[in-house]
Amino acid sequence: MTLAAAIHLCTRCVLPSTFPGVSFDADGLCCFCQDAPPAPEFEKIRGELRQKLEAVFDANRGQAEYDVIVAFSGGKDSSYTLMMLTEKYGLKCLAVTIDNGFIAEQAQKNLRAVTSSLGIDLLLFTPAPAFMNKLYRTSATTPVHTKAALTRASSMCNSCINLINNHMVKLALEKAVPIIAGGYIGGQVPKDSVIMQMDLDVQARFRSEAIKRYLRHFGPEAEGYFGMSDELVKGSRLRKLNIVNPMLAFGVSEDQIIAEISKLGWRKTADTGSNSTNCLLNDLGIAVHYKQHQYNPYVNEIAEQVRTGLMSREEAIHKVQDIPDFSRVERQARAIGLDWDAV
Amino acid sequence: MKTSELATDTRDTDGRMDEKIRQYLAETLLIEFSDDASGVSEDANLFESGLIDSFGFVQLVAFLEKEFDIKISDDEVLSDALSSFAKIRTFVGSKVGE
Repeated sequence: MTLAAAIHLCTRCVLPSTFPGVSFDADGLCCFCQDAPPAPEFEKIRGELRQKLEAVFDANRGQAEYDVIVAFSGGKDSSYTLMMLTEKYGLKCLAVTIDNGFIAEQAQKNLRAVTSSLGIDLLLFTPAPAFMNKLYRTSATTPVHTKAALTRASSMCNSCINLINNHMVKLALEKAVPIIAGGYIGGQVPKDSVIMQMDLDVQARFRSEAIKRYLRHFGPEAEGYFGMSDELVKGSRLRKLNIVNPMLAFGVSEDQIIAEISKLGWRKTADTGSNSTNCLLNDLGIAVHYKQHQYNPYVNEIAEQVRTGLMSREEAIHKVQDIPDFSRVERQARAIGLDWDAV
Repeated sequence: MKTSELATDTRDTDGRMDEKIRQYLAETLLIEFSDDASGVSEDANLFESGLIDSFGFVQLVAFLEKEFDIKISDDEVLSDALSSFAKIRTFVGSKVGE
């Protein structure tokens, strides 16, 4: 399926006219590109961000059993993040993978190949499949997330990401690990989230609001996956956590990433669609999002890659227009018990 | 400056501040305020109504500090001062005047 003819794309970054909050000038340039510097200037910004990252790493190295917990999906971006933190920055990483039940076979091999090659520990957590299926099904049919969150990822991905993030925070508190790293790239997280210091008291306030929403949507089991006990928060010696997204500072293209991680034994998946390198459900999330919102949920990150000079416009157009139709995702929909007509 | 000019100047400043916050919330966090039943009231609690999540809140605090050259303390972050558009406007107005 390709984009509807009535949808037009920004002449610089490919953001579509259906994207929430977007407007265009007479030359067809979107409001985000109008405010953005030319692509070469982003390297200077990334250089400054790398210096700030190094300062955070230096200030927190050697304080616990691990320096950093890396949310590791086995996909290309988190594999590259893990490699850089281990090899370039010399951090002792604990790779943590949430097995959502839909990690492609090749991605499972990649998890082991990358961690084995880097010589680091891998921790696997598999939430109950019945709960995960309910989470995805509900996310596909019910408004669970803020409008702003949906511009960065599909509803199904947002729910999964929030579960993963909560698990990482719990582990960090248990083990007193001061840094959590994600493999998110530009457009998947806000621009200013290369380094975020999370105050645990502030986080508790949001969690209490979020948990009410998750309990309402996903049932009482959600408490175990999205909640956090007061004993854990108050008992930890950490009062603040550093959440970092180093990919925002690295400035590497998809081809460069794949060339580097291939040296660790990482291989591309063949069954996860054009926007994922680990999850078999990803195309379903895109199809659902497009049906509901008329834009590809990856378009924000793809547009940001083009804007910052990390992807060509031609490649971006190909990715943005690759909207899976229902026949391509029918099997995945059946796997989670999703009725397409209810989307 | 005459008193009447000062009053006009203050109203203009408040008006620009109001517009900047409103524009930020609309463009970045996609929250549109209106008085009709389908819109979001300026007094609505943005957290309880699920309009802002933790990412959005971090973004909002960073925006307010940078745009209005103010410092928001941990205690203020934890208070209710930023829970609705009306409260954000009052809070920023008082911080700018400090």
